[in-house]
Amino acid sequence: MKRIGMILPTVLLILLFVSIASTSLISFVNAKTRDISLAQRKLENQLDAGNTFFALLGYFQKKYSDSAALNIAAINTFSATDTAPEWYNSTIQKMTVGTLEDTYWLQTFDQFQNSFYLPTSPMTLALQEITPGGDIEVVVRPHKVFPNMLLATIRVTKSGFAESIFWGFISPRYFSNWAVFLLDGISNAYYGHGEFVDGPSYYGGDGIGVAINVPPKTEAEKEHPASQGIGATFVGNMMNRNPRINQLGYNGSPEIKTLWIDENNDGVKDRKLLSAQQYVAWTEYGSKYYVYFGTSSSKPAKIIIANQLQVDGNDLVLSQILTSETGETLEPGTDALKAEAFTKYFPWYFRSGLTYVTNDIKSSMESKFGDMKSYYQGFIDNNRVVSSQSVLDSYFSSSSVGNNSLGVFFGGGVPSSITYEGKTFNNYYYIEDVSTGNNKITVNAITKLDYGSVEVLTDVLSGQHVFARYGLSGFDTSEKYSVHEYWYTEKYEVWEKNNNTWSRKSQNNSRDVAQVVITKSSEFDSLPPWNAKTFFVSKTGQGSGSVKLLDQDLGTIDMQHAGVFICENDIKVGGGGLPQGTGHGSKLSLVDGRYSFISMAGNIKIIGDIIYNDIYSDIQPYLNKELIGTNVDLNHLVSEKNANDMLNLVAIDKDIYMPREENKNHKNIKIMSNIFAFGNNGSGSFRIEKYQDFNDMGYRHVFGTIVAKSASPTYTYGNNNTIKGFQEFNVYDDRLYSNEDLPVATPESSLLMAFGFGAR
Amino acid sequence: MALNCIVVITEVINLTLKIKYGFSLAEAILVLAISSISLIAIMLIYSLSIRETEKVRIKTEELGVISRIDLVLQKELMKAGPESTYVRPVKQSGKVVGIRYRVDIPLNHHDVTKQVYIKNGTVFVWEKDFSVSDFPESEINALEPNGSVIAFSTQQYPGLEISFDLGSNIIEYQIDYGRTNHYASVNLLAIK
Repeated sequence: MKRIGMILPTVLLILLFVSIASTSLISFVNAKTRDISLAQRKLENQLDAGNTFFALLGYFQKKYSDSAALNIAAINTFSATDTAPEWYNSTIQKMTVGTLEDTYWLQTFDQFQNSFYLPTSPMTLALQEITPGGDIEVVVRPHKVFPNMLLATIRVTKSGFAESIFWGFISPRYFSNWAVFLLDGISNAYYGHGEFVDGPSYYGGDGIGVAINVPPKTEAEKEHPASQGIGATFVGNMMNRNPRINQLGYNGSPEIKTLWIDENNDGVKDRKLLSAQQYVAWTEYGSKYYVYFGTSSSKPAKIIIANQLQVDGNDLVLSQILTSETGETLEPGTDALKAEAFTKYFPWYFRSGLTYVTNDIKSSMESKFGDMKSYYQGFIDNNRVVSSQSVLDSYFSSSSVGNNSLGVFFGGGVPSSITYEGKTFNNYYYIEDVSTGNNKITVNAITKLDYGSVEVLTDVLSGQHVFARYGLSGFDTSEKYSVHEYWYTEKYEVWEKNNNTWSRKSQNNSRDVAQVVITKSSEFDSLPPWNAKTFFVSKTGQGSGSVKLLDQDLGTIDMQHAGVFICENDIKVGGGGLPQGTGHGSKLSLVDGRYSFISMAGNIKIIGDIIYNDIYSDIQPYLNKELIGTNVDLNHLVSEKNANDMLNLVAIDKDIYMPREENKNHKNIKIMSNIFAFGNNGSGSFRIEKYQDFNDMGYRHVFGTIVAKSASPTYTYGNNNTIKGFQEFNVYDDRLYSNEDLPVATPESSLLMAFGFGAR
Repeated sequence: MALNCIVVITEVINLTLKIKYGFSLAEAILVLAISSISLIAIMLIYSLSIRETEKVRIKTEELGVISRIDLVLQKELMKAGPESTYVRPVKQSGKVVGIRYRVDIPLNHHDVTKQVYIKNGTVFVWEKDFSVSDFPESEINALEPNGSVIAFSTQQYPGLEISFDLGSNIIEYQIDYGRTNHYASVNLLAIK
């Protein structure tokens, strides 16, 4: 008889089942844990990559402070290669089949050089300290036109997986990244009610004050501009050396309540804080309550911020108090603390906060202003701009201008000895043949190229109109051209050769001559350099009406430029377009393209409207009219029209101003340009000459940025409170914030900035 | 003598062949009792373990979902800017279910309007070319306006909820999934 036990197999089977079930469950949990771990590591890696980026920013800031330039090629902790690392190429490859956003990022990346700067081993090790356990790889690429602007891409992996990519741009903070920049601040003025600064702003020196009302009015109650009850509003971060409140008042009538504390947040008032206090309260998003209270209706003395507020008859009950229970004063002692208080107590007026300008920042900014002369002088000394005189020489020899030039310098003319028809003319610039015949030769001998005041006329002409104005063919009739005439004065003598004897017929003559630069509008769709034609003309009558070629036998010569035009002295701009131009010769300059007009030692005089061509048709109906109260949103227009025009006006030594005589009949002037008045040898202000002598001229509209050493009032009040001068209504060109369409030679501040972040 | 020996061996062999295999009743009862106790103990431990492991599994799954959503929100919202006016809440029945924002691509005329939002337990991100009209003055409550293209979506997680709180330079959000709540915030680095 044979008996086989069943218990053991049964037990074994159950154990097997339990083991399998447990294993699968554990495997599942394990897989999920790995999944979390991966997501978590990716998140950590993303943070690490971001941290690495900002560590690089700090490192480059130090380098930038040391050498006043962000030249990655000169930083020995990075080495260049022509081949990108595999992971970088792979990232780019993935983006090519990616989203709309990816497509646009790639377009931006294409603006950067195909030189890839990788950190050296010690640098990598240093960066590795930031992300223990993570592997860091960095690729830095300089911009093709603005080599100081860097695209930094960082990859962090842990144990070879959980890759995170982070990129951003590091660039000197251009002064145009501020909507308003006043190096010395303003000691005797303040931003009044309704004034609005729609970008970052800087007020060094004496800082600036503001008018503030509490609580703020609701959006529906707001009227623009100068609405009473709305304090000055700063959309971007405000940097202020001496923040102060010049006017502080209540909106409406403060109520009187007894303040109670709800200590345990149960809705029951527990402890009386203050009896019968005047107060106003305000909240945004219903999350924090700002309760202002004090002893007078015009001067709220203190503030309590609480998470909850309820009114119960004559009582006001506060819960979850975030400040001191007894209230904090609005203006604590030091300027630095004031800056914090402004951010904390008035977040709706300082929407990106208020930052105190420290001694270091103040000094470095002042130093950077002082460096502007040598910065722009470098363009001249290093032949980065070609002198107009040498363009003239090229014109007479019908040769093209060298292709490495960023633009033209009107100044520094050097006379020479010229032998002409057997006579040596010493200290002359050139000899112009006027007439020949009957054994008689008449010439103009140019004794001086006077660049003391260069007037710039800018307009947009079709090829047909170019022919009509200059008699030059070779310009496509269906194309639009950006036409600039740079007018200056020539002094000359008239000499005559008669029967082989030279005699001077007259001297101290002068005439107006212009270098003309014509660039096809479509050139500006790409990065500089831009191909252009140039030649010289002189006037045949008064005004800009008629011109003739300086030499009828010559045509145009080729030149490339990047829009940089430097004058040794005064510049006049805005005086009018060209009779055949789109601006129809009105008191208006149309700017088509991207230019920097720089005056080294003189003033820049604005003598009429300056309008960007790409939005001209929409602005035309508003010439001489104010934009306030209209539906014209300049930034919207720029975006809608895909505008890429931009102008920098840079006065190194002196001022940028509107002369009274040329502007006395010009109401509501519109200045589309970035204003930079550095005052290296003068006040450096952006001003209106004798503003108090004007009648009510409406508004001075600036679309761009205003960067100046000092500020000046633009209007005052006459009898019966009438306005004398121009009120201000300025709009920050939003493209400036992210350095879009920036003209070459836009001045850089002493700070670096980071922008344009992306991650994968 | 030899023959006798053979007989004895045969007897021994016969004796051996008569041994019965298996357990005696007592043995069987003993083994059964021990096995049953062990089995019950194992089953109890297993049941306990399975309950706890199931909790861990659920929690792990919830955390996994939350981590993935968190990653998406961080990566996306970080790019919003530069104007805070173009970072707006999207509301459904008075509740903020998403954020619509502009992504400013630097040095480029093309900007993108994006929206990250939750719908029926799925997190979506759509994108379109930026237009000011994407940000009307009135409350935004259109989840998927004309022209928007879904750029990313998660799988559906029934019961997933996200709420947003928009500050001046920060977006705070809460992700609720199952019994797990996750609070986090993202600094709007790109805001001017």
